[in-house]
Amino acid sequence: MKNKKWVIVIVIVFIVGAGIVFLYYREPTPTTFLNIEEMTEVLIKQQDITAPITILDVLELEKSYYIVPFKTDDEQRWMSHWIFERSGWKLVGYGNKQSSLQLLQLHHNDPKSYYFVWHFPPQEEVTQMNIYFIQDRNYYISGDNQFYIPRIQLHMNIDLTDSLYGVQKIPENWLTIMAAITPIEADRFLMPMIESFPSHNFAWQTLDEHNQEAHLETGESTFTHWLESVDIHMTHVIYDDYLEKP
Amino acid sequence: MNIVFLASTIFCLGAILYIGLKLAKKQPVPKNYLKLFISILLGVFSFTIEFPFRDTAVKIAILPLGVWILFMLLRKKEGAWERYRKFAWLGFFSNYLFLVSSFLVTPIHQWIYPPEHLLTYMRANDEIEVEAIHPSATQPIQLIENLQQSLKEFESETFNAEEFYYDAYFDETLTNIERFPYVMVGQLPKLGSGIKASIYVEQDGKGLLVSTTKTQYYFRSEHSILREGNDEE
Repeated sequence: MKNKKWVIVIVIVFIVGAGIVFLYYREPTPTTFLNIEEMTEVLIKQQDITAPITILDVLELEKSYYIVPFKTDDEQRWMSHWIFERSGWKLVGYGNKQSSLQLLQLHHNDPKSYYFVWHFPPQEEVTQMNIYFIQDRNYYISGDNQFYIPRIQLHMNIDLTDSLYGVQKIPENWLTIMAAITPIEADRFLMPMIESFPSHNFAWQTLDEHNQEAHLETGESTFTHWLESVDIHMTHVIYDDYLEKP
Repeated sequence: MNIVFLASTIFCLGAILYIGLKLAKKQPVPKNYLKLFISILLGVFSFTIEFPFRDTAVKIAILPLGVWILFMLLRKKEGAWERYRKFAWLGFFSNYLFLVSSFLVTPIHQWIYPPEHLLTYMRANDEIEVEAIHPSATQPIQLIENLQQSLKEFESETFNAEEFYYDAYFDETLTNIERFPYVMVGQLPKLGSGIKASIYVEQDGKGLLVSTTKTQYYFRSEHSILREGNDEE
């Protein structure tokens, strides 16, 4: 009799425990994204943003991640990042980083969730941008082993004539290539020197309508204020001199 | 999956189990197999030094920490230390068994999967493709139909990484041209080798640069494995 009681108690504890774990770890289903008024209300409460603001667009990266470009009356260009959490939609970051291309990674360890994000101020010359996937040519020798690292230079073209903001997911074939070249990066223990050779990186170049290098005209202050940590990777500007054009 | 490594691990575990059971037979009844097993596991725990030797990380167990811990725990109990001592030492010496086997794994692996043999790193399959990685690559490009046959013609050759590198900058006919403007994707290594390699394909399709985590090999053939165009046309 006593034993039966115990069994029942254990089963109940187990079910309740499993229920709590399930509710806690269940991915919340995102509700409909905020409307313009709701977004504006949150944004103008932030210290660096002065009302009035104009929301330019609402960009969905994933069901639970939105990016909203907007501008203030002084013609500053902004980007705001929104995440759906258990409690609802939340502003996780905003900035007027108008002189850079940001590379966002939504999920740790998942390169598929790489997104390029930009929002430039009005341009006179610049009408397009190339985003590059680069691996620097290199070589190194360690005892009997030698390595030659071929140059990788791939690009995708982004048209900036219609809008100066945007989000672009990393191309599929870049991911395929990244996966194909990774074995060489392993075994740090045996070859600690490998670490000093950066493998691939992402770069960008702005161009005019004649496909000539053109400099981006940017605003004065640029910053991004993150309210929560978001994975941002470095990208750098690349100039004609550093591009290989056969 | 590296089957040589797997086989040697199974062999070592089997050997430890066998010795453990032999020792257990001499134990007075009643035997508590769980405690004997825990003693072996505890014995494995040790202070080790690790250093690279001929492309492998060698781990040498020096201080038998687990054995000491067991001694501390059991010294007050009458006869307990004597009973479990052997099993703790068995655990400690199993470190050396794994060390010796790790020395054997590499030569056996190289015997079954010769490193200077292209087919160790790739076999033709339906998913295999080439991707252009540089503007000097010809596009569109694809692999020839009878790939597996052509792969057999590739022979290992010595190469000079430094030369490959500087040619790209100082040889006027090669400036702005990448010697290996393609990468192989979706290839599988020889079954059971567990080797991960990235394979770059030379401009003319007759050379392959294979990078493993430890070194690089260069293979050449008389015939190209590339052809222009794609099947959709």
